Amino acid sequence: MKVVEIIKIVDAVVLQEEGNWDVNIKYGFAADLLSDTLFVISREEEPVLLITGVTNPSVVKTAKILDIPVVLIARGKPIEASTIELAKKENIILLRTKYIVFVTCGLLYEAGLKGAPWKIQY
Amino acid sequence: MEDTILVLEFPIFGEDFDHLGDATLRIRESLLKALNTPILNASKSREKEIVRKSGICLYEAEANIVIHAKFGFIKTILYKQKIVSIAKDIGPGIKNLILALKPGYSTASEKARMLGFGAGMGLKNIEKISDFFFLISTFGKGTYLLFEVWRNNTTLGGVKMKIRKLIEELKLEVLTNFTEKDLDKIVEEAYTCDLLSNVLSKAEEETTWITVQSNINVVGVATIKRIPIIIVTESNTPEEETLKKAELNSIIIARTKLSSFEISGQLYNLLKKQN
Repeated sequence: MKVVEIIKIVDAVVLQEEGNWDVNIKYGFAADLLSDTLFVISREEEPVLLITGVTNPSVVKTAKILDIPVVLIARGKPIEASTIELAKKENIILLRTKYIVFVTCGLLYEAGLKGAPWKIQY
Repeated sequence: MEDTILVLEFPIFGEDFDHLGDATLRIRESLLKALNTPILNASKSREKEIVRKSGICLYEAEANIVIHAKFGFIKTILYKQKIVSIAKDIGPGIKNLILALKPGYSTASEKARMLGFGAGMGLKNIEKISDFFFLISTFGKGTYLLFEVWRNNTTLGGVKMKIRKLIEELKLEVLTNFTEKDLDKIVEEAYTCDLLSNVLSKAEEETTWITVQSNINVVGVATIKRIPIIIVTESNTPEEETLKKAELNSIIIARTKLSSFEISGQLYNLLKKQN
């Protein structure tokens, strides 16, 4: 799924446009706990979309470390200027949607985005 | 003996949530640059994987120091064979190590949780990802954490084989002129595919390539992927031009009567992990 399609499906606003727009997103992952994100997406994967309500720069750092090309902020949350600045520097596309996380995930899942592979043994 | 290539050290301050992750990003950048130098001869996809692994572990370790400790540092040493990282801090220490390694157990503050940390996955995550994990802590004094990510661990973990032996075992007919050095190259896996674009995007670097194709473009792809040997199946005969270009890039082209399926099966048995 291309980034443009994601924008159309969840009616998103582009907050930071520098980045890789040709990337073909295959999986989605939603979490507000960044450590959980690090735990689940810690293997080499196809490109993942991160759906989150976290708006501080940590989310961009997490995305960079995990090679996540696009971050989608849910619930129409206002976002800190420092986050956008960092995303610009690190080439990570930032999107924002007005929908809550549950609805965002539902819409994207219906459109064919799969959940990030969940292969964990605690 | 192991050669040290790069040593990086950053101080981390407790409660400094604004700069959490900066040190990790800097280390990540430096590691990528260092691994890109031709001396190391690293393959692209593998080096990305180990930098990714180290990055995740370092980020978790850095978060731990910021959330819990007063002051600490993270240090990363890049050796030829592995990346070793140390996170050491002066802080409260860990009261119960077994409990701290339990997923979901966390003593992080409300502030840390607000920022998306403190899920209680950190140490467990490092333990899971790293190839070597060592943690000691004195309650009330501080914590010392060491983890390693090994560079050769991202392969199948099977048998490594010299091309010389591979040619012998599979009874291949070598079509190109070769030097002794070409025969001494080591392969540890293979990729069977006839679509050039798939090989370009999916195959590991320095792999063995099994294909029925024998046109000149095959050599071009093999050069880009640094493939040392191409096995042409079903007795197809490459053109003179193809062979010449392969020799120029010191790529061996070998031929077999068998089909791709059969030769893949034989090679799989040769290279798979022996118990």
